Amino acid sequence: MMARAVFIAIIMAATAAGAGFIRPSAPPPAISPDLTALTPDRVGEWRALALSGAILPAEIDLEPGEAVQYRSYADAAGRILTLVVAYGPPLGDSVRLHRPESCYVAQGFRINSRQTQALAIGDRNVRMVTMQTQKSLRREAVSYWLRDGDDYVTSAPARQLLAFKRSSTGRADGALVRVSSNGADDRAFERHQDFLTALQAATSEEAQTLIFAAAP
Amino acid sequence: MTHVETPFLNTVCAFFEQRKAAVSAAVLIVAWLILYGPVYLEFSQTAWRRDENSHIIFIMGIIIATASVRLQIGGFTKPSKFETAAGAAILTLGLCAYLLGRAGEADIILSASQIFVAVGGGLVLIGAAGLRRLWFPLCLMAYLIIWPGWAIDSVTAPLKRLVSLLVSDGLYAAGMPVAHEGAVISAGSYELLVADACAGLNSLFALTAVGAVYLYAVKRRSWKTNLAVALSLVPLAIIANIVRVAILVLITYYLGYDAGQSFLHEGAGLVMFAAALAGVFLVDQLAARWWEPQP
Repeated sequence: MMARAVFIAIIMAATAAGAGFIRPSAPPPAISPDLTALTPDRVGEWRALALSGAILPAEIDLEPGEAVQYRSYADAAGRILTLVVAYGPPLGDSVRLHRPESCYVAQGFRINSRQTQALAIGDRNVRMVTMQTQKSLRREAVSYWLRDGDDYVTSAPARQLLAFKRSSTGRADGALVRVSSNGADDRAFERHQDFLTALQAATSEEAQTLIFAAAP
Repeated sequence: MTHVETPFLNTVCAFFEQRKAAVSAAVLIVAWLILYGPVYLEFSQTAWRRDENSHIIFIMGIIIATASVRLQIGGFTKPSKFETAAGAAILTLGLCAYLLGRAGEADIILSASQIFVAVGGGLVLIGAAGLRRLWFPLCLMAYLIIWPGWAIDSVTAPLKRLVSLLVSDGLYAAGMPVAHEGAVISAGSYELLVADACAGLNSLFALTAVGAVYLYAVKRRSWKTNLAVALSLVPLAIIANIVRVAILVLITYYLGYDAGQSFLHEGAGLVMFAAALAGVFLVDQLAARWWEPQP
């Protein structure tokens, strides 16, 4: 029995040593970035409002390396939309809890429809999720994308698969960009897209690397 | 060829002869720590800190305690060739899962690999008969699995809705101005987010684990009693949560928001566990009266 025990112990230790070699060595950054650059006062024809009525998850304590920024904007016609930018590890609370599928539902909204599509935001291509949500008479249109490393993911299980594919050089961080507006207007998603395109034009290249995947 | 007697070597050999089992155990524990020590270190900074996994350390303690008690009896038979081969295969599978889990940062695979490594290694060392003695700690190892957040959410989300529905409808029926919409319960002029209030559902796993340990400790003879208690664990955990949320709403309604919050942070978990344990005890006593052979 002792020979077997020693043999098993050696195999276990060897596996542990082996794991050291294949372990991807790109730990997520521990410093929370400043996201204010991503929510400028003016975005194209939109102007920032002082107050924000965003649908947010319950209060969460941010871990080091996580950051969240909210801001509401109004266009010339007075239509208001809300921008949420969350940054952090893709499986961390900041990004996980701000996924509209979690936090709208948690606040009593029903998701009436949900679509996934590839969209051009300026010269960037993202995989965007658009949803129509409803809570009694109040309707909200929500558009968002979720960057995980240098990919966009549209479902939670897909993110788990992605972890395997990610090379050791890839980024281990993630970001969620979400725009929402009141009403069941058909053109809401187009306005979201226009807004995000303007946002892309209004922000620096450096700030954009936080929210967009690197171009392939 | 003459046989050279060296007293020192003899002593050493005798020492090891007597303590083979202890040395084997020590070697295996060290190997386990080399393999899983870094993983535990990482989990202790990440996954174990999440509410839904708060029971894991506690479960590990019980696994270690029950397993070591059962192993000290000794007297294991040598595993057959078949057991050795099967054990080696399971162990290899476990170690491959370990590598895959570490490469992909997949906590679920990494944590589940422990079960395969333990079962495979155990089969090679003490055979199926030996493992049968360890059935309880081995079953508890299922609680060590770290499920991804989205999987937990998809289980608890409908339960959250059920809890908030039952609490608000129940209190409304009792004549209080309580209503709920999604995960927001409004009580009088206060609004409570059930996301907060229902965080208790994350302890669903922990509550069922406590029940399993209770069953093991009480050692009922009738399988019907055991089954009745086992089947009642999940409903009892949900009822315990309903009690917790109801108390939270009542305190908030009568004593104000701050009183409710301080209950939430200080007494709520304790109340919930006490309610669940009381429920388990009650079901057990009733089932035992029914099915247990009377002395």
